[in-house]
Amino acid sequence: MKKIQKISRYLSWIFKSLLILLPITLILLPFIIHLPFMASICAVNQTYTPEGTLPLHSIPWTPLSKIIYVSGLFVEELPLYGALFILKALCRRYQQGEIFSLNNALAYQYLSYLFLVSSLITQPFGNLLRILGATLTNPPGHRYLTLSFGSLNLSALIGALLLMLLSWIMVEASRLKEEEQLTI
Amino acid sequence: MPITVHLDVLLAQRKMKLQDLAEAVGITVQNLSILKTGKAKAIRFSTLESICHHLHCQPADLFSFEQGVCDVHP
Repeated sequence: MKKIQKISRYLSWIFKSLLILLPITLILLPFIIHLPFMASICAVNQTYTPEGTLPLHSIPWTPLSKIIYVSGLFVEELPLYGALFILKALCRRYQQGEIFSLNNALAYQYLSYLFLVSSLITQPFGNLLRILGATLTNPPGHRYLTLSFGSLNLSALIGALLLMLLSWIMVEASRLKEEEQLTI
Repeated sequence: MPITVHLDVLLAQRKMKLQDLAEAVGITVQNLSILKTGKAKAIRFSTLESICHHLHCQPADLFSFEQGVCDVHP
């Protein structure tokens, strides 16, 4: 129990930090996306388009293309923000010693719904906006609006379904536990 | 809750305290309090037998059912 509470405290700090850092990164991105030092940040230095990978700093950005690109990132990260709020609340309950409760089981259920929304809706549409933003300044005939489902979406979908199944089991288990506790 | 528990009435009539009954029955005061306040979801026959034995009563004296306040789905 103490181990869970200790780890939950550290995780809670990580989730709180991410909740602050991620929006700041998104807000700053339009101002730094065209800078050469972005090439050294491996995670965000390029984007994938139907014509191949494009280094972000080499794209001739306009304000509109930047807004569209960052909107795509924002849409993709929306489920993540929701998940971070849920995980923060979950860690707070773990710290208070509330481990096997209906609220925690429902939290996992909501996480699974977020995974589902992410894999089916926000990832494809976010990707669409990013590709559009990255290719908006291309010559006519080389601007793309693509909607795709790949192995990443499938992995997220399978993860969502597994988490949903586990959360249903946890909800039933917590109801059985409550009934057993209230049996005299 | 359609089932009403009359444990407090029986305890008052027998002039017995909740702690004394809990000790006699062999369950915690908290559990007995859950039963008294109507929050219990189920009661074991062994517990019911012990309560009836120590209160010198019938199970029907302990519980009553109110028509029309039913939250049980068929």
